[in-house]
Amino acid sequence: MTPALLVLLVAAAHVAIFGHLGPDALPAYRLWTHVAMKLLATAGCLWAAASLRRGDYMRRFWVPLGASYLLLTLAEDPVTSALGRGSAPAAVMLGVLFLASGNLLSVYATAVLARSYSQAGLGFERSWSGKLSWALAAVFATGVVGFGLQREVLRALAGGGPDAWASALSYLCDAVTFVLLVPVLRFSLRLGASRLGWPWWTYALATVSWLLYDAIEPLPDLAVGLSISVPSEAFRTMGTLLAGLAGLYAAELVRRARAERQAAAPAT
Amino acid sequence: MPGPSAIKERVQDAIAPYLGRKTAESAVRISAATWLKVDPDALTLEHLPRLREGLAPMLKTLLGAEVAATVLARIDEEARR
Repeated sequence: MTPALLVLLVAAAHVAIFGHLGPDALPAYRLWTHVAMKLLATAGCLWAAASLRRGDYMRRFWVPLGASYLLLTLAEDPVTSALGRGSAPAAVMLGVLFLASGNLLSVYATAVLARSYSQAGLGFERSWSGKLSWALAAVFATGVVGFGLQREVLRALAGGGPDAWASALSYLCDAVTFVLLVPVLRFSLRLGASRLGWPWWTYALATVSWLLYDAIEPLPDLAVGLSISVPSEAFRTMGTLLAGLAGLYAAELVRRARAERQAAAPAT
Repeated sequence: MPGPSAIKERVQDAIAPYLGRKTAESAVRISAATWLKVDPDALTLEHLPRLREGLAPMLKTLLGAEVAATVLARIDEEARR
């Protein structure tokens, strides 16, 4: 079974269970599956980083992305409560700190990935279509996160506390990440179905999943009675697991190249 | 001995499985123009060492040192075949 198929099956099974659980079991199931998935994403990214050599440019992408998922894991309730040693304000502050730094690291990682093509000396030629795609992505990102960002900023200004500011920051980080998807997708198109194309396309799909997660958030306010909990969980699951899968593909690329070199080396 | 355009094709063939055909073409074109000041179609076996020198940082940035070394070994193998 391929890793991609496994991810799809796990995601489908998780979403099916999520949709069928009652209100008593759902909160605990949701919490621990979120922790498990974020840890899987962390492991995938850090595995990719470990497969590269010290000084390799792409480590600057995989290490912060893995650290970002680790921090987002630490931002979950049971972890912050344990680290806060029972103090509610300390737990909230830790949650805010982990959430904010996790989101900022994720933006940094995507910026590193977005720059890699020009860093390699293969920069795209400046064109009107390129500028237009940046502008459209900025407008689109604003539209996607605008609702949540406005809500959280208003909540923060009304005295919602540091967690409201951290939540607003996470929407802002999502918007920047969506804009950075422009160069990532442009380069993915040039990579096609090549070996490097697999981790790039998978990471791009992870980001698109998070984009859809944010995009459907305002729907219940637009259509009263509409529940988005299941599709929301599906997009969140795909966003998290695909980030880990991208790391797995990147590590596999190195493993395969190493095996090829060993096979080509003359026997001693 | 392979003809000039054959060298370009062979180097691109070695890179393409890793970076795709389009990026392979760009990498060879940019490397030939920057490091050798020649058209990619005019590449010969004598150009190969300098061409590799130009391609190495690109490959290392995108693929990492270990995979880049494998691709460079494939380039040598393909070009001299």
